[in-house]
Amino acid sequence: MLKKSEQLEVGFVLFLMAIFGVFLAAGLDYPPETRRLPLLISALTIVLLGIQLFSLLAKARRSQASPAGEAVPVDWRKSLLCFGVLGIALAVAFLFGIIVSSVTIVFGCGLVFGARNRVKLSLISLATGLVVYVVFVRVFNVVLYRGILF
Amino acid sequence: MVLDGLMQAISPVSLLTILFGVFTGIVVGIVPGIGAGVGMALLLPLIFNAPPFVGLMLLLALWAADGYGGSISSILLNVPGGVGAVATCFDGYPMSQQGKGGYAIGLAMAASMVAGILGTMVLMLAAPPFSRFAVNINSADYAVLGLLGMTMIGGLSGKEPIKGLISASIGLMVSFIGFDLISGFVRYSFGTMYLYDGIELTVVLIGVFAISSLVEAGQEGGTVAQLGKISGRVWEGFFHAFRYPLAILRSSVVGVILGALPGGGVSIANLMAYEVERRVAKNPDRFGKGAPEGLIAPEAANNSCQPAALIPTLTLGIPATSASAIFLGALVMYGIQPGLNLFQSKGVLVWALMWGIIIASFAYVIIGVLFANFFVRLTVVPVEYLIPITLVTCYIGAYSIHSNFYDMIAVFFFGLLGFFMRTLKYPVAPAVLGVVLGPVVEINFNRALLISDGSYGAFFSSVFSWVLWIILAAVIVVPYLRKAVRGKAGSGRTY
Repeated sequence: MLKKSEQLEVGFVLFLMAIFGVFLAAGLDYPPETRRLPLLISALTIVLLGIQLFSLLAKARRSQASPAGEAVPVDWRKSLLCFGVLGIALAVAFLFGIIVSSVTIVFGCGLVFGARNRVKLSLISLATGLVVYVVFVRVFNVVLYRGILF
Repeated sequence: MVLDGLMQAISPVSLLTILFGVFTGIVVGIVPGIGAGVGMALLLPLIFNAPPFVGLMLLLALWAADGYGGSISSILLNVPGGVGAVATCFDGYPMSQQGKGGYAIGLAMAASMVAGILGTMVLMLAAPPFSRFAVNINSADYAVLGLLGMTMIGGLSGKEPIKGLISASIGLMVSFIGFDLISGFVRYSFGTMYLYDGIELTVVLIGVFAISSLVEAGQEGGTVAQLGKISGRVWEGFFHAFRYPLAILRSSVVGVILGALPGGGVSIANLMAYEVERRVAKNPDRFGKGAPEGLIAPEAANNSCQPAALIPTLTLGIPATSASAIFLGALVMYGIQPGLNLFQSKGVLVWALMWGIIIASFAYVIIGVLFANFFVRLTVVPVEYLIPITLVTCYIGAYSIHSNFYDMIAVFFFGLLGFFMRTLKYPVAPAVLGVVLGPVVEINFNRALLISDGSYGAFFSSVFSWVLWIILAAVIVVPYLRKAVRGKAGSGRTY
């Protein structure tokens, strides 16, 4: 049984193999001059990924037995949560615009990274939104995305 | 051309650009997790519409000052500001604990300044003759050279070369998305209009490089300095550095050699220079306890490394480091073709940039001293506020390139990819290089086949190409051979 970290790496390799497999399959329909290098690179990479997968499984078998229920390192949870916040911020940007999304990112990621004073965090988040508006919209005249609801 | 470049470099616009770039570079260098690469990637959308000289000078000034900025974090917090400032911690932090933080910062400032100037002088002397040599390289050799550049960075980064090669392939495949530059055929768009033009280089850089790096830095948490002030005199350290001229010179040479070689870079240069200095010292026991040479060596190496990395970047179009890959991306963004004819077609611009790096080396002394206390106070800003604010600039930067919401979505997914790559120890630099070099390698690859009527023998037709293939094979095979020999030596087997 693979450890959680090994499972994650094997999963990543399999994911990349799938992606490169799609590139390889899609490239077969292209004209010869156009598909030459992409097919070569895709095929070589699938071979490299296969070698890496084999090496990972062999290493896992050789390593000392340890409880298969090893947890994902705690630190990764912060990062995955942060990406969750960034994903939510995308949805917020789509609906309400980039300025509101900026506030979301600072508040959400600040909480994830351990900011304890929520009042201070809220004020900094709102200040960030204000600075984004002043600097980009007023000073640089950049048209920021407004969201479909505005 | 040389003097015209100097005149452009000392113009008021140029000086202001350099000052701003240096200030930003020091700030970016101080914060652990945000290095020159991240700073440059974040600046790309902002310089998109700027004149080429201003945009490129801003990037170079930031890059030049980043090394010095990283030393402040290393000295005061024992946390390297970047990979080029790791060895600075060894003697810099003990000096800070002895109440000589300002003195240490002064030493670092002087070493960085002198080495930056020396490295730039090597660039000025070596680049023009190198570019004349580059004119003789044909398309087939150029394609192999591009492949070698990626392989060296992929093979030499991290303990597993195969991961570096996979990373380079990811970058290459991303570069193939969109219009094929020769036939105009649209590849890998999967029916979406967004992918017709390919994925913007800046979006990939911000995602893979900046966002992943920032999230990782936030995950690790920032060590926050308690006091936010320095003790000891900066100017005293600055002038005392000149008592160690040989240390500065030796380390600058190490930095230049490792900067010009693909796969070298500041991460190796600072450690190697430290080790060299420790070995030649009369009393090596002083190292690790606050020896001035122990601080001067890595700082000199990482600042001479950066201009040297521009030698293959400007003359061959093959970046030696990830930061130079981003600079190459900026050149491409401005429609400036590096390599063969750059010194003929844009000679004044190139010379102005090189003079500008020298001016930047003086500028970060002035700014470093004037704003020393401000920079030190940055070390007390908690990362839980600093990182999210910087993430906001990533999203806005991605959007502002083409005012396209889909760029924000793309930057999110590339950030996720970059994060998993970093976490699973797949080096990110080869992927960046793959995206930047992909079009160059493909154009030359197809051109070579066109000239040779489809014969792959074109890639083995010259002595130069054979040399490149041998180096390429060595880069891939040698690490595994070394591992196998070590494994057998450890098991006590004999033949």
